[in-house]
Amino acid sequence: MSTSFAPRSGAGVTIEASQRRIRVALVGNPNTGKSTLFNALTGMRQRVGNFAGVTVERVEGAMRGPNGEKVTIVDVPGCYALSPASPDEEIALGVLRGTGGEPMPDVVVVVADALHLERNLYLVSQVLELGLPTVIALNQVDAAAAAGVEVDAVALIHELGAPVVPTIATRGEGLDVLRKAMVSVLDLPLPVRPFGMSAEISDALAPLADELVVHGATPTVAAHDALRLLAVPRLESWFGDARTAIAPMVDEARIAIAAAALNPRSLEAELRYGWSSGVVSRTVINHNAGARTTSDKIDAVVLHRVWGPLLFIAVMVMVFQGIFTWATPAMDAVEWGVARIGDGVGALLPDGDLRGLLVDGVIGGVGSVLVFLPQIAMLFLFIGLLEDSGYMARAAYLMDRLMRRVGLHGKSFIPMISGFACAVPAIMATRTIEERKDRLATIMVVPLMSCSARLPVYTLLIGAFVPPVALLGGLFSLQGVTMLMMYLLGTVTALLVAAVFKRTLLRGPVRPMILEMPAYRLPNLRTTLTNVWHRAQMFLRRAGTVILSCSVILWALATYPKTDLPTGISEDRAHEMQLENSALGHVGKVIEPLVRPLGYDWKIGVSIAASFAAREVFVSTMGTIYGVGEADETSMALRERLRAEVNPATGGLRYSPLIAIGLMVFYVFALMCISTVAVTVREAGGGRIGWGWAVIQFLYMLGLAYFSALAVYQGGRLLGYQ
Amino acid sequence: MVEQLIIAAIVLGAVAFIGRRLWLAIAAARAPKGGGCNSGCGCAPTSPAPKKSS
Repeated sequence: MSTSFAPRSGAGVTIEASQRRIRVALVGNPNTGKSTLFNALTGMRQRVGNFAGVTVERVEGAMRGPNGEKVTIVDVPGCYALSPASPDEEIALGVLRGTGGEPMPDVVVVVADALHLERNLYLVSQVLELGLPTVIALNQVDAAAAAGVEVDAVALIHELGAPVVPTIATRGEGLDVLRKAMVSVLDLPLPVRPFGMSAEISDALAPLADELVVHGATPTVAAHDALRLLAVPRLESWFGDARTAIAPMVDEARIAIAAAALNPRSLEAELRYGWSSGVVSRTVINHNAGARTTSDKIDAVVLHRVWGPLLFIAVMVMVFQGIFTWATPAMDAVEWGVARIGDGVGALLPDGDLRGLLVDGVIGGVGSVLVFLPQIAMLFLFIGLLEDSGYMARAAYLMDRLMRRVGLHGKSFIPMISGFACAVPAIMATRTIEERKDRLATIMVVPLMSCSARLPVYTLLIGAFVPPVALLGGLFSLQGVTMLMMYLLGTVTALLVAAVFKRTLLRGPVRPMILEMPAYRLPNLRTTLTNVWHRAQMFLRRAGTVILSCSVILWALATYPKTDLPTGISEDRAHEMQLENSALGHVGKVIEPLVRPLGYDWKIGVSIAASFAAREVFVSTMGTIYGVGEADETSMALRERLRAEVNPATGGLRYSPLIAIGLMVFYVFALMCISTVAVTVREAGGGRIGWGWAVIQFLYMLGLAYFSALAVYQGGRLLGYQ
Repeated sequence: MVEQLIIAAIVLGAVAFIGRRLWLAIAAARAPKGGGCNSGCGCAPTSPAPKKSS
């Protein structure tokens, strides 16, 4: 069914509803549930989390309106006010003001947190002043009710002069009403400034507003900007050349305001908070005013000076122990499955190169990485639970003192923690940091945080060379603790390197952090599992594309050219000779002198070189190398092969725990990810400046990796280890 | 002979794919800041499957 109606902009013109296109901007303070609402409305899976700064770029989604309208929803990073302080806020305001090539939105939905309405109303009042059709989504009313806070939505509608829709985005409640409101608001009168100003303030601002109108602003936006600009230290870039004309008018307005015995810098904040305080007193009932909330009680322990850090360490130990121990049965199952597939395919095909390509190249290479899927899923499960519960923001608070000591902003901790998943979105998450030097310092060290692509390398080497010795009565195992050590090594080094950058190339003042503490909540299992599934899909896609392609190429390099083997030699020796005389073997022999001081042979050398495409390729390359020309018919797990590999020169074992630890240390530090280099170039400013920072990052990390691995191996040997 | 041709096609396909990924990564470095997580890392945070609801 379709209906017809007359849109405001085209009086007398009727458009069939199903043909109508509406552009909706979703704005709000950070951590109000915008992205959750966006996902619920569009069916997309934009990343969400229970802390500020999860969304750092604009994302568009589509949905149908109640009458079939084509609605485009733009989710933007959170902001507290319409004056951008950081790159993510600039993106948000670009969407809202229609600057930077963005079309103006037809409708604005301001997502306001029902529990913290007074603070959220600051932004609401600014958006209303823009004179765009506006709907307020009063979100998280369930959390507010649980905290004893009741909001009278009808009274709020009268206060704001705009539709207010209570919603619970996590449960999809109120969304139908919101969808209808997004369309019906187009037929309502446009909102206006919700509070009055004295005649002397209005008179002081009038010339500035008139000047803004001369330069193309609508009267409503000009009135809004005239008040806002009093507190803005530098006019925003979107004013363009008009800045030279507007700046003196702003100064004159400040003088006029000061002449009226008012502070021009704080006038806007005083007016808006005065108004929002009044609105809250008339529309909100707090049944537990003054009482300590559950979050306060939990925070008394979690943020305690002594217990807080201890709890943080315990959580981290549990996470890595869990990744190593609890994922093992699933990993064994995948490993068994991959081996059986390899055996099955091998039995079906006749002996020849095609069989070798499929069994040794594809299944041997991709399969050796696929077995780590359970660990990857477990890592993202833990990250999801920590984020969604609200603990991640507390961890940032706990780390603030340490971050400040090294010269980093406390906000840097969230991108750094995100780096445990992947450095690319983590580097993009630095957009929340206002100060450019702090942002650059964070970008430079984020890749030192062990991302999920390193997990297969660590797990392979730990599984092969670190014995499963029980610690603390079986509570922990040496393998889990070793993995934690690798993550800690990356984290501690990141802090030290940041301290060096902040005291040399990126010297600058350390600013205090203001961090909003989200309320604790039980993690939403659906959201968390969806995120784990999404990440597992990414891992599988990566295994089926990049790793598969690399495995095929490496198999070809390890197989050709064919060598004429002498008769009468053992199959193992024939395998070794074929490999050494292959193209890969020749490349390996060129690389070998570089890696020999680290204790590595040419096979590890080429695996490291190949893993510049993606770190997991180290594992798939080893899988392919040890699969090519395989002597026995039964597939064997890669870690068992590595453990049993014999050095033909000495007759002893080729690899040792010392070599494995050195190799892991190398992977902790080395930047072997083209995507990370690309995103560093872009986020560090692009062009020559961006490339300059990316080169510095790549070289210092490579140097750190090489010399640390060298120190581990040579130091270990001096101490008597082999 | 056929077997060798099949292998050659598969290997060339793999080389072309990796080459393209490399090119995309370099292109992403030149993209504007709002370009998002599209540098071939597989970290794109959204699903391209919008739900049509009425």
